[in-house]
Amino acid sequence: MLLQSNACFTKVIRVLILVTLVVSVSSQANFLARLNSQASLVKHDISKTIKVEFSHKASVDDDLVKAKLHEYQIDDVNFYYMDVKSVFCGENICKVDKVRLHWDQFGHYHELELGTGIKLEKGNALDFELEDYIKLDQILANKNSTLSSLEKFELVTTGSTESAGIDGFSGATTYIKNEDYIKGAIWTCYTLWHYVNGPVSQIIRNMSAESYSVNELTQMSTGSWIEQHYALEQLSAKQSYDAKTIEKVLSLVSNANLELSQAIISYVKAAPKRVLSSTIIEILSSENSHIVGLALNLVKDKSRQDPLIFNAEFYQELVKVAASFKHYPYVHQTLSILQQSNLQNSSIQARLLTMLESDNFMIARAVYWHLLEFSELNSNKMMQSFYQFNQDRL
Amino acid sequence: MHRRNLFKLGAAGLATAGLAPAISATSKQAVLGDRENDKWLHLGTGKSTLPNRHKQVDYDVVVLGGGAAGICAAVAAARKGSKVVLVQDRPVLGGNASSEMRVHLNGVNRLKTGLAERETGIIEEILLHNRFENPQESFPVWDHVLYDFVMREPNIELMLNTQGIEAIMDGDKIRQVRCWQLTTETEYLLGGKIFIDCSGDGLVAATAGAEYRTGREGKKEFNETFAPDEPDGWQMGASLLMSAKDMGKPIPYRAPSWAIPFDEKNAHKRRKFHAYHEGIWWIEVGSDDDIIADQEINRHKLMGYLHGVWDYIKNSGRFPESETLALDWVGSLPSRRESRRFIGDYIHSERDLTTYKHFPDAVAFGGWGIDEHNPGAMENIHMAPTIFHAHFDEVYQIPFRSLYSKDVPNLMFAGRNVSQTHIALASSRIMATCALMGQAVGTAATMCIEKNATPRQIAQQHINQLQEQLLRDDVFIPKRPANDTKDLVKKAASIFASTTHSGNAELLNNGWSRDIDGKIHHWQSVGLPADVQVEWQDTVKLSQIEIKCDTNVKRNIMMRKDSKNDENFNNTVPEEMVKSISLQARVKGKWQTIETIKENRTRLIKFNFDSIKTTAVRIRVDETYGDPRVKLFEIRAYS
Ligand SMILES: Cc1cc2nc3c(=O)[nH]c(=O)nc-3n(C[C@H](O)[C@H](O)[C@H](O)COP(=O)(O)OP(=O)(O)OC[C@H]3O[C@@H](n4cnc5c(N)ncnc54)[C@H](O)[C@@H]3O)c2cc1C
Repeated sequence: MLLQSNACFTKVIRVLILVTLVVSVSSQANFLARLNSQASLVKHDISKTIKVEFSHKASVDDDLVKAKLHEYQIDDVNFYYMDVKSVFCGENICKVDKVRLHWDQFGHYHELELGTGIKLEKGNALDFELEDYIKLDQILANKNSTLSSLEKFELVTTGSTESAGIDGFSGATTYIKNEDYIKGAIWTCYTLWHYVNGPVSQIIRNMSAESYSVNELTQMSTGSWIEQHYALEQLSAKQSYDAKTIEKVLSLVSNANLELSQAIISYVKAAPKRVLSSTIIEILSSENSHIVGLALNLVKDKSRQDPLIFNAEFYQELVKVAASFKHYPYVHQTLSILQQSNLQNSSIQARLLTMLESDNFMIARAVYWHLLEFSELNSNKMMQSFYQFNQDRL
Repeated sequence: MHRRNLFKLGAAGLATAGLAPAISATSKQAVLGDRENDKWLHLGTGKSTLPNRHKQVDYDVVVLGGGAAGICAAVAAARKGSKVVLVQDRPVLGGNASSEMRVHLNGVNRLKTGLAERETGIIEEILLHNRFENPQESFPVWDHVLYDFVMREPNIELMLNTQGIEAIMDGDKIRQVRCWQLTTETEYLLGGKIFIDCSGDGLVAATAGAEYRTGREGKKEFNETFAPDEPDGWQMGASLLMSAKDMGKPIPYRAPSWAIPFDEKNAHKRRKFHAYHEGIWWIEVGSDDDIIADQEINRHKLMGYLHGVWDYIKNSGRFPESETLALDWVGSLPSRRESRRFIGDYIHSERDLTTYKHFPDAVAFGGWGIDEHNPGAMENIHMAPTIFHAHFDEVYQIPFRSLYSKDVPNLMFAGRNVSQTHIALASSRIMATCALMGQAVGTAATMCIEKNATPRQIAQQHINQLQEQLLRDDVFIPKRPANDTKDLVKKAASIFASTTHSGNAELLNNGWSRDIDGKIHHWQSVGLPADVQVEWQDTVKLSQIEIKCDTNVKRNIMMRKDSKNDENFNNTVPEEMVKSISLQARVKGKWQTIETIKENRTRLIKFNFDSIKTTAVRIRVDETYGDPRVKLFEIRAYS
């Protein structure tokens, strides 16, 4: 059942909580006073409401959850909220409260609101204490929580202590990191965490992207890590692969760390055929070792799935770039791509022959074995002299 | 290799094996199996004869006690090449974990981080073997899994129902152990070069004159904060476990005449009944005097306490859900926690644990909390049954010098009877920890024989070699990375993987075989199949490749009565473990498949093959037991 939007809520403001953590006891008292007061719901001008259906790990019988997702703005930035039940209770002993969850435009947890007089409950009919709200807030904000991989059936025995046959073993029998749940309120933590970090998060990311132009997203791609990641994901979703956007994305390549490299490669992966191969060649020409390996893997996967996507011209370009690889595994990877493609023309072979002179012997040796097996060059002079010179270490 | 099996060979076989019925020069006048007055008319032959009840057999290594420690000691020594006899006084292997006692084979189940830091090596192999062979999690089947684990080692002779009763000395060294085999009325004199007492109680070691102590050290002696102010005789007790099943209809229970009523009024509130249908560990009786002498009296008391507690559960009205429960199994042989502790060159004590002391001769580790059961046990019902004095942030080290006798030069120990204080025992007695000690002394025993050295000389002169061998055999030693100069992967010019999700293929060569101390030491693929290639500048000769794959050492895999399956406990084969793997080598430019293992069952995966000359090898993993990715920790290569 959905809540009326004019219902009274007491707001648990995340920032306030964090401040409360570090300031004096008296402000904690203020906080509690607010919690207990009849302060009404913070009203937002809703700009859009959509009906959503999504799966929830705690859902009984795995039914889809149906809910309304509302969009509003603070200082022109989009935020979202949804009213949910505090708990899907696996053991039918929980009290169900109404909770309003808020996300930012990136689908990250923002804050949680409770209706007037509503207090979340722990086991044995105990109300949440201030510390519990503070902890809940931290739990929901932790995307890497151990709650993420738990299945609901694994929760049922939680809370019992002492295991049979084990000397004095104590603590929760089901293992979840202490920081990831509140004693006596495991079902609430589990339910809310999966609301916050489950499929709704992606729905919000896609929804908020509607209010950004490609241009804005392209600009955002040079922002913080969160923005970059978001921008690349949404540019790809919008199929934005015009020259300007690609250029902007390629400008990120040289300094990309592993995570950003992965995000760039995901963007490239969804590129239409006309730009895919040239974009990959550009990336392979970079000196960034994180991304070169990922790009080669992409070529390998794509060319296996769809052998027609890359043509002879592409492989010529690939070999040209590979001729200057210093890192042996990349050459190895390139050669295995060539083997997989079954494409061996004279121009590719000529380029490969030059690699017999590489300073890195392992590169030269791998090329030698490749040419010996996949070309007719065994009587080639360079090949023969390479063999003469290195036969002991082949 | 053909198994030498005393039981299969029979008397004729014994004779051909050069085993004369022996009255050894040093053995006592009255030989145990003496049959001078035996009036046996053998109707089959029509003759009066005397049965042969004396046997004398020589081995390299004699291991006493077939609990977790003894099994691992025997298997380690045998795999390294020694001829080993494993002497166990019960009809089954497993000690406290056997179906006779049913204690969970715990280890470092959970550190303060919330995660396990599981033992690897032989004990892990055993636990994995059980996951494959005993998915039904039956304790009697587990006995047979252990039996299989031992019997498949060609270098081990297993003697069940056989008790070691006396050491026969040659100067200060043990020459033989006199044993009595209950089922055959036979006395065995088992000769050996190295003797390992893993029997818990240590009768043989005691008769060899190895110094030992019982009871609790006072605070002062080792500066132990959890020890009593003054030393005393208290030893933690033995327990009897039980299990109950739901019969689906009310089942009455009447306590036997000798039951000792449960004293509910005075019982401490931490005497908990959670999951009582799987046994209650605090049904325990100890001793502050001679706990071994008290054993039969204590057994009777324990049976009385057990039925008293069950009576309370069934008939007090406090456990209405017990109405349909009936006892399904009750222990009759108490499982023991403490008795003799033998003295080595080092006595492991509380501060070594709590300060995570680094020992240059570390060979094993522990990490169960310091779990000291309260004096008196059931006879001090008003006290909490245990005090967890401390829990650990990380694992602590166990030094090799605490695993051999200071007085008897060819005697080692593993298990609860090693050189340690009562407080150290309160943590290290856990069976997987005992098992690590077992693997260490078993490995050391074979080294002693190869080098004609004593355990002390191993500690003083060859400890690096011992540690390297243990690390190669997949034991983890805290703060001690492997650095085996014979490992040819150390000379490789490049190690790289087809894909990388986390870690790095180059870490497979860094000497660490698990992620530890907050650092990553693995390579993990993006998907499957995946491969890792090791390449050398020059050709190398290879005949062995060894790989350590992931089995998730942060999650427990031992069998439990409740079959728990959650983030901390796993009741099946770990999904991370490699199932299908193949080894390829590039020989003269061509890749050849050397071997494919389709149903791998171990963390340490070994490929042994005829020597090849190669410049590169590739390990290809096709399948795990469920994980869509593969994670490896180590690759080694040997010529
Ligand atoms: C009720 C209880 C609960 C416990 N809880 C746990 C727990 O949860 N998990 C855990 O890991 N540990 C637990 N412990 C401790 C643990 O079980 C012991 O410390 C451990 O079994 C010691 O291992 P061991 O290999 O040294 O000895 P044992 O397991 O006792 O094995 C020694 C074997 O040697 C045999 N033997 C003895 N004397 C001779 C002889 N003279 N000749 C031949 N054979 C002989 C014995 O019969 C026995 O089978 C518990 C102990 C008890 C009693």
